[in-house]
Amino acid sequence: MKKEGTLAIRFALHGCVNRPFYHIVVIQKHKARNGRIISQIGTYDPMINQFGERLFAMSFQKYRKWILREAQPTKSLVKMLGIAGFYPIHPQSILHAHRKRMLQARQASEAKQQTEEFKETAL
Amino acid sequence: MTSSLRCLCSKKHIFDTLRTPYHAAVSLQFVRWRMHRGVPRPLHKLEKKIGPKINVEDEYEKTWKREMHKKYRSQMNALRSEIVRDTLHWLGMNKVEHLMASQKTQMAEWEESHKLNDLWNAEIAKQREERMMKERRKVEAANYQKMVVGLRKREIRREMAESFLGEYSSMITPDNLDEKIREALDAQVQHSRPLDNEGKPEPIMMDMLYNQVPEDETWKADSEEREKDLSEDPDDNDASYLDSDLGEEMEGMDVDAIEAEDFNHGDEAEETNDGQDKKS
Repeated sequence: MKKEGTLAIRFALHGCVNRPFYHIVVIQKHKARNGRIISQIGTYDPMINQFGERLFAMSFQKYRKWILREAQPTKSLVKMLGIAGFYPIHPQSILHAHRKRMLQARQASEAKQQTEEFKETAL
Repeated sequence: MTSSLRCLCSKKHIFDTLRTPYHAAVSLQFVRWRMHRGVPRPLHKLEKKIGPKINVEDEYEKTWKREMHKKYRSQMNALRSEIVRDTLHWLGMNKVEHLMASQKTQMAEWEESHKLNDLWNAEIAKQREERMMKERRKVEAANYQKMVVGLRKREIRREMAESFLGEYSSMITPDNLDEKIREALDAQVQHSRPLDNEGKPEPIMMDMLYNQVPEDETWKADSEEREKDLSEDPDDNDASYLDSDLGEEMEGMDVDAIEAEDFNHGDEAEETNDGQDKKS
């Protein structure tokens, strides 16, 4: 019987200095980040293009087949698929968005308060 | 500061890049050692402020965080099973059938690989046997050659030993002492004999008789002549010479009485004439 071990679907960093580029690969869990893969099923470009997009491409057919063979996707990939709509949105991404919104609101209120104090002092 | 840096930073290229304490013109090359604490921070790290992490949790987070995670986990489990069911339906078989098919294919692959492996093993075994036979033959040939050389050496040593023994067979040992004495007493050695150009004594009649020296043809001719001479020796008991050589004075005389007188008179004369002979 063939034993593949625990399989993982994750990002493998390629590219060069100041230009990352990720491959979405199926690989044994204990292997290195850029180790010997079983198959590649997609790509991800984290750099924003001229249209303000970060491009993500994957073969969902192959993804389903590997899920059937008990491959475990990583948290970052699952979050990205949640944002894409294949999975439900991850709670961490929701909380991250909430915290950022709260920070922006706090900063806006502080800036507003500072302007009002300046106006009072000027008058 | 520069003087302290110079004495501490013995690496020249670091000091060369630092011009003043205000301009941290650090070289962009990667260095394998840590910088001195007096070296200023690089520009891209000046804005970075390192401080403790502040965990700001709202009421919203406190209430909804755990429930969101529970909900997400249940959703993901359901989705996983749905994906498996859909893919099996799409592949046209049940999970059990899929497992059995996968097992069958795996068993078939295993058997095929085993057959291949056996074939390869047979080929390699053939090659191995041929190689081993060659090596065995080489070893046997080498051993045979060694044996032959050893036997030949033994023969040479034996021949040399025998030759030495042959040369020294005439040596006197306690074992053959009596024999050698007997031989020495029985042997008749002629010291007055001629020599060759090489200094070896020439064989003569006595050596040939007692030591069995091989006879040369030249010697044969000489021996025959010598026999003739010996047979014609005037010292033999033949008194014919007296009749031929003697004069008229010896006619009618008793030759035997004269010879006897000469014989006896010669001895007496030798005894009495010792002093006269010396004077003359």
